[in-house]
Amino acid sequence: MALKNKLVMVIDDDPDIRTLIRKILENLGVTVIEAEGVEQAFVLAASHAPHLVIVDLQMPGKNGFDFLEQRRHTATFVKVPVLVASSLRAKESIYRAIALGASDYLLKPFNASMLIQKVRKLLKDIDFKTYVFPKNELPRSSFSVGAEVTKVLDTGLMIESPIKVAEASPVQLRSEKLKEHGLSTYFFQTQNEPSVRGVTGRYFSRVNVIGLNESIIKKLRKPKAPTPAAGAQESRHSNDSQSPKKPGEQS
Amino acid sequence: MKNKLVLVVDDDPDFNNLIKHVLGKFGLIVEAFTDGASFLKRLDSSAPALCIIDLNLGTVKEGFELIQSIRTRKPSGPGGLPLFIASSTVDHETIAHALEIGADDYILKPIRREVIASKLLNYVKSAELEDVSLNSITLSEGEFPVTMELELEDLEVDEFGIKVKSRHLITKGTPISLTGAFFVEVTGSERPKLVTVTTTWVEVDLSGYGAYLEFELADEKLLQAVRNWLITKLK
Repeated sequence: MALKNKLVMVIDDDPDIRTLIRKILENLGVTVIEAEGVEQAFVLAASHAPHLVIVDLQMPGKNGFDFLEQRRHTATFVKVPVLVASSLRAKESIYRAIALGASDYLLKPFNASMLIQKVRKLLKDIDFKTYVFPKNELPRSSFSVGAEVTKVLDTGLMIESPIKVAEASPVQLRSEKLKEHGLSTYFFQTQNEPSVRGVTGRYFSRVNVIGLNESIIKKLRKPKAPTPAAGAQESRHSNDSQSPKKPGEQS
Repeated sequence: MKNKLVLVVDDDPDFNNLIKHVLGKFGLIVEAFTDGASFLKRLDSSAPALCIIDLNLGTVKEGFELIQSIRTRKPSGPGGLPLFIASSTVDHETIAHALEIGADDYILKPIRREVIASKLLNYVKSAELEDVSLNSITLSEGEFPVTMELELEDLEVDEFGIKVKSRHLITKGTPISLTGAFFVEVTGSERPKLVTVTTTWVEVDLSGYGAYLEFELADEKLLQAVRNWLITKLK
């Protein structure tokens, strides 16, 4: 069961107890944040959403019982299991904590294995739920990945990448070399044929440059000219920084 | 395309006959086998334009081994041998895995004639294009790096990652930079986030591919922001 990357908040006024719990749980891969009291716990709740809270019942000022009552009104804590830790052995205290919503009780002084056992049990099925986007409102994202042009073809480029790109698909390409040839503002589209998998496991896709003309293809196929002085290089690049052209639009 | 050879191996003779019948109409010569050993023997002595194998010929593991056996004999890639898998019962993650270890594409059974014609022939035609592309200039490795940008749709979010749908298959293990409305809402920033593709599958409706993109676990700030967002959304 994955404890790694679970977040546990420890609320205890005793720094030694907090440190002890932190060391035990961090060995399991759990991330621990500490609060020295109930007030601080609610401040931390604004920026931290723990999977589990361990709270001492006996603290000066607001105690663990106050936390259990108050947490019912806080979105961050309301559904999070709470393990109360206390030296109070009286059954009434234990019953009261459970009645207020504590999931389990750990008697102090506790040993590491007991703490680990209880934490594992409480974290067992604790994952934040999955949010499913409504089907008619799926947000769009775009992703970028490193690729390489392996060939310059008659009407476009052969691109090698870790993506099996769909046929006739618009593709955005960014590269210093495209800028040099005035192609950074052009639209690209894969040909109406599938990407083919190469021996290395990467895919080869033929990409057409929309609106390409012969003069630009000639430029692409020419060997690269010697690099000019830095100033001249910068001014050529800055001319190229426009919004992408529509298909058919020439530079 | 006429007289090009297609090899197919499937223990279902009806499937083999269907492939023969449909592709035969386009002038292709189809040789069918019902076991992997005879198929491989014929592959060693021929130069087919396309191969189709049943992923369920034995077990799925044997299907994967057959793909790998084919690839040690005939490479994939431009000018290589296009390899299709045909399947009826395997799950969509298995199909995606088959694509990642050497298959080029898939057809699902029961197969429709128009799928055979359009999908399969596309690969044969593609190989012909490679033959006639004489005016290409091959570049050396690292000469022309590019960043490729494509689109996808967000389906689900959990605290460790995001499930997406795309027309494109992203190879498992690929790190990608992701931007979109979801991240802007969660983090307030348009800065791309690095994610890694951990699982891929073919969408049930065959409209494309699915992928699970895992957030960078070291990015505690992002993970926390996502958790806070989930709490708000799932109240």
